[in-house]
Amino acid sequence: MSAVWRASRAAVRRRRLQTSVIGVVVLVSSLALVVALGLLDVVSGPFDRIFGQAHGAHVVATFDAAKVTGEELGRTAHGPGVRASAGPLAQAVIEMPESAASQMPGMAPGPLTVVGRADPGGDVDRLDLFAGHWATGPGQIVLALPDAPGMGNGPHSPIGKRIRLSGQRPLTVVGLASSVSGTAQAWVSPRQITYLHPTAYQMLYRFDHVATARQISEDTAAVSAGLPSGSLIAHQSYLTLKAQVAANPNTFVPFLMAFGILGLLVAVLIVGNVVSGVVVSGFRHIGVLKSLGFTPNQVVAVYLVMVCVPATAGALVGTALGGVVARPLLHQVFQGTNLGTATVDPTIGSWAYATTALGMPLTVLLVALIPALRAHRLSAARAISAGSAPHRGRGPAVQRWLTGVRLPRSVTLGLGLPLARPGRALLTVASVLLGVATVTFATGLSATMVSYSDATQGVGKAKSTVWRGQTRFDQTAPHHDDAATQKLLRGLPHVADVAAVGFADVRIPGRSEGVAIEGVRGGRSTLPDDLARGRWMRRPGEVVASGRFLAKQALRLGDSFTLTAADGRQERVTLVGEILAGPEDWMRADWSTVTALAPDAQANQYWVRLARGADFNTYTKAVQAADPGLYSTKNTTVNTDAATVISSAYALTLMLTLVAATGVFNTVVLSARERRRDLGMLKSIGMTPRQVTVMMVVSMAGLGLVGGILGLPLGVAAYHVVIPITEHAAQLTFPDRMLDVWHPGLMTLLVLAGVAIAALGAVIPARAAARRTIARVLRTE
Amino acid sequence: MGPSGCGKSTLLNMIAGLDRPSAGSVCVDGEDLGRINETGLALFRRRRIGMIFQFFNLIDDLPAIDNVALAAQLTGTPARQARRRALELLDELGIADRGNVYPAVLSGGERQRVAVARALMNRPALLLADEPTGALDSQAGEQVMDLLIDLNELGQTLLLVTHDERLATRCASQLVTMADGRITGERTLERTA
Repeated sequence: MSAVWRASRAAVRRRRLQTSVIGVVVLVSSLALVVALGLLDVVSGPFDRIFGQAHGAHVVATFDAAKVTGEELGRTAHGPGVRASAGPLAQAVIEMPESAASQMPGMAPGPLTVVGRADPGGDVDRLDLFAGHWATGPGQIVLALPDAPGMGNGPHSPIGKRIRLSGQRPLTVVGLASSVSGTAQAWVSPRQITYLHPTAYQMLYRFDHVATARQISEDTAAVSAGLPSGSLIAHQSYLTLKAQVAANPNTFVPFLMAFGILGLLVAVLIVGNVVSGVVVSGFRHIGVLKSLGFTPNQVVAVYLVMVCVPATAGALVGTALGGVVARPLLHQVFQGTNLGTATVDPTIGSWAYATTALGMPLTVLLVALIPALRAHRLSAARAISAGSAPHRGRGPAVQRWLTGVRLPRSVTLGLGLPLARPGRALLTVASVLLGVATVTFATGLSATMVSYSDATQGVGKAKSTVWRGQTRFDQTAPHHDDAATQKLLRGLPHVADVAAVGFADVRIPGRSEGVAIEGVRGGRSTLPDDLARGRWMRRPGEVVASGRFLAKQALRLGDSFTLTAADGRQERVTLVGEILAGPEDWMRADWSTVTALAPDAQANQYWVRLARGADFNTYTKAVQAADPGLYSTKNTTVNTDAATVISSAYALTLMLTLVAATGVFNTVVLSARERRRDLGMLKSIGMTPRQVTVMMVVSMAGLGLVGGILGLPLGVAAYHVVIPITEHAAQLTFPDRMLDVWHPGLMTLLVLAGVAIAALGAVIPARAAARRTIARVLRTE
Repeated sequence: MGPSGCGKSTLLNMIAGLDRPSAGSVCVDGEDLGRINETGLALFRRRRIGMIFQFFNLIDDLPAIDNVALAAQLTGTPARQARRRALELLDELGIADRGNVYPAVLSGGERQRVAVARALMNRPALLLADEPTGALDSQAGEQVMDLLIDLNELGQTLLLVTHDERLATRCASQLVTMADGRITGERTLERTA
């Protein structure tokens, strides 16, 4: 064994370049693998992940404080099937005033459920306190809000704002937290809650058996069995919460899963390419070892050790670096993404690190074993000749044909080079192919998501929404009536168009839940360009709605149905269009359809499209000056789901391109090493360094072109597989114009991306080969 | 001429601009090669030097004629014209019928003739031969030497490196002997062949 170890150590030392290449390729691939696995981990069952991390409550039970004591509730913690519990926590309901809610994004005026809690941790429902600090003193409150950009700091952050309650000392917002279980809308200290007159207790339970609603009902019944009758006011199962979250459009999940899978494939393929190439190029050395008396098994062992030492080092360093890089990268990718009230925390599971650190050296071992076993079977003489002579086949015939092609000889020689090692050329093509497929997929995906984001956010359409002030919310009432307000806004400088928008609550006969109908008066150019199918409403009695509405109401385009207003008025409407995004209980119609159902309907908001180059602050001042009872807001143009997909697409494309280029780098290094005698001869007959570089780069660029031509349809196919999954998951339909993302010019560029990836990987080793002194090589057989 | 390791091939490589001296300078036909960059040296070799190696150094993937034509094609000569000239050279060297054969199928003597043809392709001013018969059997070696002597007699300047004294005295008109990296002697000879 010592001979094997000594020979392996010597081989590692002697082949510093190859050892370094294996180490670097495995390092970069491990890094990419950690990111890819982390991505899959984060997007796989996001609710279950977050729920598990936060020790979410399987049941949130609310008890009447007048009927049950805290001591009685405390004893339920030891009930049958209870794994963990929190509480009893005193619960009160306060009235959030409009004056406070208007200053805090994400908060609405009205009743606010507040719970007294000593700290955000515990065995159940660990809160994510993402800004400020916990409420520990009197007059302090922590609000339940999702972790969105600008929420924790900046001028619009609720932190530091005060909530004035009648007959109470004001509460100051000292922190922001999110709860995966949605247990409260705000928290105060246990001492503070007593001042808010709590009327109920909250108990949070985690049970042993929670797979079905029936199990949860039985568990809940068991814990409340010994309590006074009627003390359990309400209970919420986590399965209900999960169903609500699952209904939200998670458009980014299928895209990111596809990226994760692509990343896995590229990383494994590149490692396979590099390792098998190294072993094959070492056949000559294998033959020499055999001739020295090494047994076939010892020879195989030497090669496996030689390859696995740098691979293991590369995998360990790559995994560690992956941990460093992936966390901020995934945080960047998932910034602002939330599920219900809980923010997605992109924490990578330890299994991803373990899989990479152990799986990558194992992959290397398995890949190296295949050519090593081939060398095991070869005689010493054949191993030596196999190591020095490239394979035959159709290569010479093609080389011969290339000789006559009217291109510079360095180019035709380069084009013929890969034919000497068809297997390696095939692996190189495969890695470039996956690289181009990734770039193609990412390009199409980004184009669709940008188009979707623009359409749903109405980019270039309404820049501002003007709200009518309401005195019940401590706002100034507008001086102008509805129609006059629209006219007034239209007359302001820099305003291009104004739509008046109002709502009416109606019902669809036979359905239990009501729906809202949104009426638009004038200002058609302010409407977002988000029609997915069908057409916009053109006449009274026509409506458009989202795919989620269609799915929930079991309606199709062209269907007619009756809407009934609260006073019994009825209007028959026809569904003429499906729009991209919108709630499941909402539809849009023209103004006359709304007034047919609610004759007194008034617009409560105005969508304003500004002229090109208009200054928003100047416009806002003009609105306030024209009527102090009008409140203008700037419409956001950021879609967090789209931003998630686009940023992840760019980051992963860059990483996978780098990995693919590393594979090409290795191929050129090996090729230059094997061909050093030919390179020396070519230099001796006058080939310039530039011609050598061109030849080596062209040898890979040709493969890059083939990879590009094959990778393009693969990327397009992956896109067309993922899009329907996304449409199904998010209950939306992308219109054809959003799927028409590739044009001849772009496709040509994508094919050339293959050439660019190959050239990128080839240029450094090619230049090194061009500069190498070759005198000694020419004197050896 | 000199024993193995005396520096003959190193000297030859420096004359061809394939290697650079660690000290001193190399001047060939009035040109200081130390002042020329790598591209300049490649162009110098292309125009002025032809090289023949002990182990032929042919490209295995190309047939004999394309190996020969390669030297001209690197200068931009069209493929058809280069092949015509290569065929002429192979004909002059007596192996025109082996032009479409790959190196692996050729005998040692034939391979060295192809190498000679390649070296002559760009009509070099100086032909450098490094142990041209070292890898050949005696009969093939004699034939290659006859060929080189014929070329020399036709006016081709030839600088040949060998450790074989019999070979050196047979074909050389000027003999320089080396030992341990230094010139130890120089004399003019009457060719014995």
